[in-house]
Amino acid sequence: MLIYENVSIQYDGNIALSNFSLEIGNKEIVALVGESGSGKTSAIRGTMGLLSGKGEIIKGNILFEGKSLLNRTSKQWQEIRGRKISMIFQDSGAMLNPIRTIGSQFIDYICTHEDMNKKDAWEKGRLMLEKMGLSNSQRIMKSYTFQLSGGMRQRVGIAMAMTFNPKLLLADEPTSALDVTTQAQIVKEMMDLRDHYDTSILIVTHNLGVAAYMADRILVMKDGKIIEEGQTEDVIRYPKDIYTRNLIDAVPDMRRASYV
Amino acid sequence: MLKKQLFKRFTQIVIVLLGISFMSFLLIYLAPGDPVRAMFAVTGSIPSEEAMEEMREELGLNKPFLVQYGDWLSKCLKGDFGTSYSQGRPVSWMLSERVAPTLNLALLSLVIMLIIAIPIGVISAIHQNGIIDYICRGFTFLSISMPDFWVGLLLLYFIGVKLRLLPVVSTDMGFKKMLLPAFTLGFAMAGKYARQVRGAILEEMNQDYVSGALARGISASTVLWKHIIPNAMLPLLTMLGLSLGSLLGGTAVVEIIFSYPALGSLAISAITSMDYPLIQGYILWIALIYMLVNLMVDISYSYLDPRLKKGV
Repeated sequence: MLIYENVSIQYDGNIALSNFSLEIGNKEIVALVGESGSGKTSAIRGTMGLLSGKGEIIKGNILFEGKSLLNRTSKQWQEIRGRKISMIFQDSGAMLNPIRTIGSQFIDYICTHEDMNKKDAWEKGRLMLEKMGLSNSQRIMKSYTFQLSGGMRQRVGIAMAMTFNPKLLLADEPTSALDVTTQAQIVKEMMDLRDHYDTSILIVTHNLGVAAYMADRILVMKDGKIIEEGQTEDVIRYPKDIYTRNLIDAVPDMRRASYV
Repeated sequence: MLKKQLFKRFTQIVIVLLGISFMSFLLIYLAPGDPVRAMFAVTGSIPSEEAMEEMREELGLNKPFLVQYGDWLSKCLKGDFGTSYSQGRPVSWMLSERVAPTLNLALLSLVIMLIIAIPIGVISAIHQNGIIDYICRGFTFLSISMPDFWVGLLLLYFIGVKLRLLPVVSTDMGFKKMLLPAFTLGFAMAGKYARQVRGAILEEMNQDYVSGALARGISASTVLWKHIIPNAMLPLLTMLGLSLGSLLGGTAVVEIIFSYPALGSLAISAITSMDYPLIQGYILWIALIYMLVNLMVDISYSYLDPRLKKGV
């Protein structure tokens, strides 16, 4: 469904990602694991055409459902962004305008993609929040992001991302700003998304525990390159690269059954 | 804003006003020069020493400093700011008849400034480091470096005298008559503000909520109008407050060029003629207006920025 063909990304002459190739199938969960600066965030931001600053894709191609995601017009992006491909971030709260309510931004989002009046859009947004287990959805819709806890903000982000039942969810460090308990809940909830919405997930994380728990496949990245990839089970049990082995050793209890 | 906070702010204003009135009274008292001599100088006559002494007696200028201050303060509290030495009219009348022209000119020039500065700042930021940005920055440079009296004179010459589009002398508050002085002031401020707007927009463009909105499929222009610009305008409010405060204190140079009857030219004439009560009244006005505008800015922040309203 999503194919990266030898993608290279650079920022102002500095290579951040080189010759990155990956294919993600339907309902598959793939994790990109690596420390900061390994190019994993560039990979998913590049997918959405949202590289920050002077970042640009200098080589290769990214195909979604057979069509290239490069050189899209803003109109063409609108069909993809937030509809077929959604994105959640390290802090989904920061991804919303701090001086407008969650509800008003939810309405804006829904009305961008669907011809709907504001009242229905509000109701649709509220129901999405409830589906994500946010029981006081009415109040949350009227809140500003800074009034919510980290876990709630992340659930709001996921609820928004799933509104249009996207084919693919790109998750950029979705759990790293959360405490351990909330982390575990969010991870479980993201796993459920695949079952409920048939969504593929590409998750970027520095936390090998989260990756091992969620992903079908893991790609270990370092300095903009893939240094190891394979089925989660194989990568965790029989790491080939020394770097991967170090990453695994860094996670307490990694070799035992409980990954998260 | 809570009532309690408001009460606190008003108490602060009163205390600051008292302090300022005392300081300014003291400074004027210590300043060299003799107001009585100056008063007579206006009439062109040279009075005898006795006549001048009599005058000092009448004005209370020979009393000890603290007594003078006390007399003045107690009258002020009753709303009597004294009588102008140079014109013999109550200071409160003289100030208040100039407040409306000053306010109108200040507001019109701010509006003109915003009409120039916001589009230039926004366009400049969108085309960061492109040709349009350089042109816009050239304009801001021009606006910052051209002194307002010169801009005023150029406008007078070309628009008033050569093209005869607008009146040259702006003796009252007709909209047309205010346009030239207001434009002069607005133009002078526009460069500074355009740069601020540009900087603020660029800063907001890098915020995560912009990527967030784009990732949700919101169009770039909607992101600009609904998210970036409102957020970028917030920090400008403080600057606008300061500008309004200084404009309400009067803009002597421009007022004199266009013969516009506002507070700035009144203050200049009060100082040159050593008109103590008028100077004193003017200083109080400036202090009061600055603090009130500041309070207004703070109150509007608490309405415009939800993070402040909820006390975060």
